[in-house]
Amino acid sequence: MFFNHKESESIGLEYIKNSLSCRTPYGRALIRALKPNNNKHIAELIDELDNITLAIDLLKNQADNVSKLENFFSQIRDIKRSIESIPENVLDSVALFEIKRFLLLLQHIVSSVERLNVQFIRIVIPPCIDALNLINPDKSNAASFHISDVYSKKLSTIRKHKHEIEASILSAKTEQVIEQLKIERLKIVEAEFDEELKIRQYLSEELAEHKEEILLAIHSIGRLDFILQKARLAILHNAVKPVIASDDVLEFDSMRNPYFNSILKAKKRNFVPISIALQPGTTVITGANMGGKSMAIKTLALNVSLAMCGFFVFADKAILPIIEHICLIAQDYESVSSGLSSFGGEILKLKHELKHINAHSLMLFDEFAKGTNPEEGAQIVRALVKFLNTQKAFSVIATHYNGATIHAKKHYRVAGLKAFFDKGFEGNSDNGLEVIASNMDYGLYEAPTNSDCPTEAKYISRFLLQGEEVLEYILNETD
Amino acid sequence: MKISDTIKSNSVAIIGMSKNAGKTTVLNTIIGEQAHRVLGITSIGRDGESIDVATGTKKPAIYVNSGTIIATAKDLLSVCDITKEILDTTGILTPLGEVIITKAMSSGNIQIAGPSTVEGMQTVCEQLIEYGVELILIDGAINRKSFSVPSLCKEVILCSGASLDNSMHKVVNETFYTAKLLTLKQSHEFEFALNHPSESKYVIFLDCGVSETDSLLAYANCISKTKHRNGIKALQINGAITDSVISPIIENGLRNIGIIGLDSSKFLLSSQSFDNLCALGCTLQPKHEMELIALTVNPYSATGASFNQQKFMEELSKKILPLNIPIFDVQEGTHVF
Repeated sequence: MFFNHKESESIGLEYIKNSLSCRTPYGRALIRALKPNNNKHIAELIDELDNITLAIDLLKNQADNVSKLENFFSQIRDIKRSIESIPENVLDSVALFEIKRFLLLLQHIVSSVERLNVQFIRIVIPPCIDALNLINPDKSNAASFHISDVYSKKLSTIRKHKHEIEASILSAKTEQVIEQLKIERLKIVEAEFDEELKIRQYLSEELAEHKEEILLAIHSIGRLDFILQKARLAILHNAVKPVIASDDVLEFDSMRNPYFNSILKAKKRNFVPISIALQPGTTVITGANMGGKSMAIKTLALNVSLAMCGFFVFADKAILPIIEHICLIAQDYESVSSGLSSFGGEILKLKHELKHINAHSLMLFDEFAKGTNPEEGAQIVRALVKFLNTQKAFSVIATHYNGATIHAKKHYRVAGLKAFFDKGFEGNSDNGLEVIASNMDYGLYEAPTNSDCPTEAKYISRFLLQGEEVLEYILNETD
Repeated sequence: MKISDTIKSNSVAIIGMSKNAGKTTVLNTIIGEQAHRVLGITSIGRDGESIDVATGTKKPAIYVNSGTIIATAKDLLSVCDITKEILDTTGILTPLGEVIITKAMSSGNIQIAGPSTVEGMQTVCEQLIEYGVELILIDGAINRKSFSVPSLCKEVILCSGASLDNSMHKVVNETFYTAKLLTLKQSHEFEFALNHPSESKYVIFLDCGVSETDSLLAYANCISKTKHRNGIKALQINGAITDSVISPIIENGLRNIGIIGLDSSKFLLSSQSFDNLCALGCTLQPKHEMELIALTVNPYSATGASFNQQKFMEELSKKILPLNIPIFDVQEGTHVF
């Protein structure tokens, strides 16, 4: 239902995930396990977005206090597995040490959060005092852990005995006596180990009574860590809170993609924000080939999925319903090993995705059926447009085939090179590609549904092939 | 004189030249002599007997006093029969688990497996000092292929014994050679090469400039090019200095050059190659110098063929004489300067 790694990378979701730096292992686990909320959890989604708003406010007005909290976060090590393993498993001293360290840190975190004086929605961090007292019996709050005599009088006696024998070994005169004492000591060592084991069993069982509480603390810390990162991300990119409505409206104003932006910036170009408004049924995007359509589709995929995962989105405004299922058919699915052609792969994926299509689906197609002959391809895309119009899902098809737009509910066009070519050709064809790329307008504009694809190929040929013999042939064919 | 009297700094590595060289006995002796100080114990990685040690059968354990702080792998804690207080985890992983810093709340026997990298050892030593350790004892492994001594620990005690070889003559020679390598010092005339920072494996200092490469072949070719032969002043080798690295130098008869290596643990060349270098006037220069403070001998061999203790001590002290290092037999309690 959610993207695979390749898809996630191509739309810029991996870029966003990699830019988040959670301080706790629990926050990091949440990033890795990123998945969208669905209709059953719409309240949770809204809470998460509201929490981000609170966090943004904190980051702006209480940066120091948040810093202190995050410092404590950085010191947290992962004890989840130890906690989950009890009471079936008996914890060893190192695990008990780590749990004690966590619970001591927890106290600092709880008071740190209190100092922030903000009420996060449905995030509770229980201080687990009883659990702490269990493994901190002398209340020393020392950073170290040992199986204390306090737990058992018998242990105290054994250890005294051990100490006496060790003193005897030190002051012994002959090898024989030493050997004898060492054998005796070994018996005491065994007794100590057995008694310590009993205590560890006891502690493991008692701690298990507080298992739920501790796991809740762990979960809440992870969520809070994650929320702070999402808030940072939102501030960095001027992201906006998406409005989750139940209407049949999916609309973005000036939508952006930080991933594509970083790529384009490296080439000294800019990503043009895209505005799009969808309704159930099919929307078609046309435009000549230079990536604009693809970027639009993928940016939509990125922002919708982020919204569904409880992130602010990269736009000036966003309204959308709960989307449970995003279908993205935008890769080359050719597979020599399974004997699949590009088109075969696409059709197979489509079949699979159609099993899940419903009113909460977003179906995205980037140049569907491009890997087959243009006549059939155009027919198939037209058919797909018509079929998806009968569905309640939101569908967007980007295509360079003619005849698709006339059946669509809406038509958007990538501006492309029209303005450039209308001006007349400037610059020479030596750095032609550079010139073309820098004059591409990637912006999306609404166009009438009966208008066809622009014939940019001819113009691009004329520009890049200036003075070449083959150009004459091309112009003869196209005119 | 006690062996621990030779220790001047706050950390010392005890290296055995072979298994059963008596390293553990030496450690236990030092521990006994230094009972009044807070000791820290760890080891560089683990030598080959890990399985035996984990079952506690063959190797004698190190016996520590209450108050000692040890840094060892988690899996070995259960075979340490001290009453333990866990002080910290280090995040340093070993095949036997994470290295844990533990304080002994009673006396007892311990098994040690510490970090196997220089960085890891640096971290552990710093932590031990932070917890109040006054003297760190590092159990170092050595096999016939290489040493494993960290660059940061300057003082070294070398443990040798009959277990190294059946022939006393061979043991004496090999011990002398190892000791010689450990005591090599820098000379000022090669300061330019010692201080030259480089990431490449082979750095060649020519009259006209510096040539760097990661390829042994390219390095050998550079040396053999006629026009370069007289213009090489020094070499810096960032990796093991083996016979294959040395042979281009000898084959081309380079004279009086300095060969810089990280520390003695990287000098893996045979004594034959070393002698050939000396004949050419070439010297090995360690970036990090070691201080060999003492030599220990164990005339008993694990395989049964032991040496005559007196004769062994005599032969070794005669050979070692130029290095001026005290020799101890901790079992007998005797020593020779």
